[in-house]
Amino acid sequence: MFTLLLLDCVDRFKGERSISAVYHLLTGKRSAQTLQDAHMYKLSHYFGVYKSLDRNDFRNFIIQLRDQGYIAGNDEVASLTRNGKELFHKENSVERLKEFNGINYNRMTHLCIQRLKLFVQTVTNIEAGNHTFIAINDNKEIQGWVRKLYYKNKSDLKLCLNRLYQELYTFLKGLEELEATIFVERFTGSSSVGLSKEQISRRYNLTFHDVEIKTELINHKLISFIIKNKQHVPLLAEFIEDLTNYLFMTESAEKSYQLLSQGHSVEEIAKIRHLKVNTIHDHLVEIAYIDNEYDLSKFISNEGVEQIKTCITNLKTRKLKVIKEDLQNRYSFFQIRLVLAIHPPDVKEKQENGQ
Amino acid sequence: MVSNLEAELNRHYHFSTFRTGQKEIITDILNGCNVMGVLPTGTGKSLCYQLPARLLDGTVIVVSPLISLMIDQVKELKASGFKEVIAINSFLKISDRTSVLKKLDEYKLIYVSPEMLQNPLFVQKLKKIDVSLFVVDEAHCISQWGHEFRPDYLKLNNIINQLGFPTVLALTGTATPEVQSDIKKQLGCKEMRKHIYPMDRENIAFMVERFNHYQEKMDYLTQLLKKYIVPTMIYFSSRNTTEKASKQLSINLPNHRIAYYHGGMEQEDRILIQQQFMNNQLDIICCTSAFGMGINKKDIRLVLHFHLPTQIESFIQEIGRAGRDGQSSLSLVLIGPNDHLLPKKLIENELPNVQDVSNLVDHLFSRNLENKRLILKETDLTNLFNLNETQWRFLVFQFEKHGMIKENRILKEFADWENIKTIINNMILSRNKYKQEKLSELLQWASNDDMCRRKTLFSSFQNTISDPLYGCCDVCGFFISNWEPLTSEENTRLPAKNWEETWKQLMLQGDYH
Repeated sequence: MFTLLLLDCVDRFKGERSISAVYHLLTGKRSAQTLQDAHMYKLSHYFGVYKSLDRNDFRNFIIQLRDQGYIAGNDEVASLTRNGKELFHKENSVERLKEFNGINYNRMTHLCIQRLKLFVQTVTNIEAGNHTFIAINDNKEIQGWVRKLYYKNKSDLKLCLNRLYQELYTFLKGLEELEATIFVERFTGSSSVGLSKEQISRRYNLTFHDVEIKTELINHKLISFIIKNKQHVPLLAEFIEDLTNYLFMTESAEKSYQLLSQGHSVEEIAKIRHLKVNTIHDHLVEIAYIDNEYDLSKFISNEGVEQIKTCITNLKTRKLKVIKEDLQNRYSFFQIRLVLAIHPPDVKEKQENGQ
Repeated sequence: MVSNLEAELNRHYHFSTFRTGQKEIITDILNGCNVMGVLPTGTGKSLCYQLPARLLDGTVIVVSPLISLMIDQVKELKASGFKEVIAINSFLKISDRTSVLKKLDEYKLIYVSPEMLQNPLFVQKLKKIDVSLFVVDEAHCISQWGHEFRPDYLKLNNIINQLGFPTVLALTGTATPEVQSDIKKQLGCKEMRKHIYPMDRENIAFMVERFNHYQEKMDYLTQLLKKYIVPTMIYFSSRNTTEKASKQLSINLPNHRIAYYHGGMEQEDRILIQQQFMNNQLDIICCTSAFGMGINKKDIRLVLHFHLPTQIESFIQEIGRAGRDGQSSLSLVLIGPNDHLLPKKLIENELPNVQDVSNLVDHLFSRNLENKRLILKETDLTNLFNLNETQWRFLVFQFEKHGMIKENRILKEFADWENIKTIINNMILSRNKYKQEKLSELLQWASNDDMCRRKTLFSSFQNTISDPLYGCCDVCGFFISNWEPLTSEENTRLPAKNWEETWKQLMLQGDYH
């Protein structure tokens, strides 16, 4: 499956982008270039679908595809060979891969599935009368989230478990046999511990990359299932409720960003989108956090950037009001926020080290 | 003062009696005496401070170098209902750390890494709370002669001093008499009650087998494991070999459930594999020394060393994971002709080499001429000179010790540039020599087929050895063919189920509940 995905990327880039662009796309590099590529070449559904991909592994895989005669060319200009094209179409790849939705889901799949796994472990253990178990997830944020949902359902855990069983069963029924199996076997319950990725790859004779890609695809299917069936799977919907808000804000920010790159001013964008100027400012700041090479010169002079940076360093603060007053209100909140986004100060870090 | 310790033990742990040494150590602590406890791994060292943490007013601080171990212990304690515990280390997110530091006095038990104690701000916070007991776990790390010397530990006596001399408890699983006296000296404790317990294990038999090459070892292993399906650990010295061997064994032993574990794996998979082994879903684990820290599985029957570690102390620690339930267990070492080369290399890479030191000092000297009050930047310098983290920490410690730097700045008055090179290099040479000797000691132990392995293994730690319960060693007439370990009944393998059944069972639906 990883092979097909790579073939698709190479094909759609039409030799106009280097092989590294594929790597940036799959690992979800948050740069304007990668995002723009994703949109321009209709590859946005693959954005960030394989974040843990190692650069060397990727390179080796590409070399392998070349040796197998599926792709031709070099690292700068590559294209599919006839064999490559044939393989891609023979496997009905378009159909199978179109369910990725990287640009919209890549930031939520991990959180959603980790919450789900920890919640299942927690509820099944407690329901089975086992109050001391070692959590399979160390992340405090995820643990905190699961704890909240647990307390909400504490009065009737049995019911909660039945509902979750049913809701996920409906989802699993719609998957291929192998997909459902992989999904289920990764879960830890009260009497059995889930399998690692490596164990899945051995048991089902899949390459390590394919396990990653398949797992991610299943996660994307899960999220789109939940979004489409919100009313019918109310419990599952809770797992992504706070994540979708975040998602739509980002999409919206992206629209503003596109208009900006087409040369519209902030005021014009606000008019076109029927939004407040402040909202557009929010979007631009959000994009600035993602893209470190963001060009600020439209909004603030170089001198201004330097002055604000110095001020932040001297005051060791991120408080906008304090910074603004210290600079005698010469700069707007928006300008200060942009500088903070591009040059995040490590204020806390410094205090921690006691320097 | 607590009058009935057994009652407290029962209340908090639901045990009715203490294990060897625990009561004596806890009584001394509660009476305000400094204590040195040498207790073999797996005999409940941590209870010696966890119970006092519940009983004493004020806070117990535990310094531990093993971050994963501390995280596991905090998890376990929290799971058991003791919530006022926290582990403070570099893995704690900065935002979490800030909120933790604000309510430091609310914790009864605080685990810290030695690095955290280098942070003056953190020490300031600690000084404000009432510290009733200061625990130094893995105390052998303080000694240059110990098998895991950590320079950061040498600064602990200064911390104890700053905290106004709370009661000190130094704990370790292995310490020769010379290491013991070093611990006492370096911690600056005038009085220290010693509780030393023997670490030989009467239920473990010992065997060493020799082979000509890797494949011969693998073949032997395969034949052996075909016969015994028992919880087994196999130690390797490299991550790669754990993966390679695990794959090969899985093919040759289709009825065994086999996995590998090493420090380079993803966190989630590490937890899963560890839990599977604990939960008897795996029979064999091929691992590096990273596995086993904080593992408390009672029924490990067989600890194999496909490769040996770098010294006797580590070896004893690793075999100590076998048979914690007291049942017949076996330590089996497989020796190959070139097995000494890898540990030798590991030792050489632990500290920087002579050329590194010379280059780095020269570099700092010339930079210092250009820039008074030069600050040492770790990432710049480690990249430039290709140093690893341990090597870097060692050098910084030496630079500080010999008056070249303070708080990462080169001191104005420092002028001893040539001399410091010689001093540090001599130090490195003697440390490496010492470690090579420790390695030879272990290799010699394995190659000596004339004397009882059990007696020679423990001879530098204790004078008498208790009689073995189930068999002594291959020298004293133990044959593996006579070994009859307990096999657990529940070790039956269920046929593969389809996902619908698995899901039903996992979610406790219908008949499965």
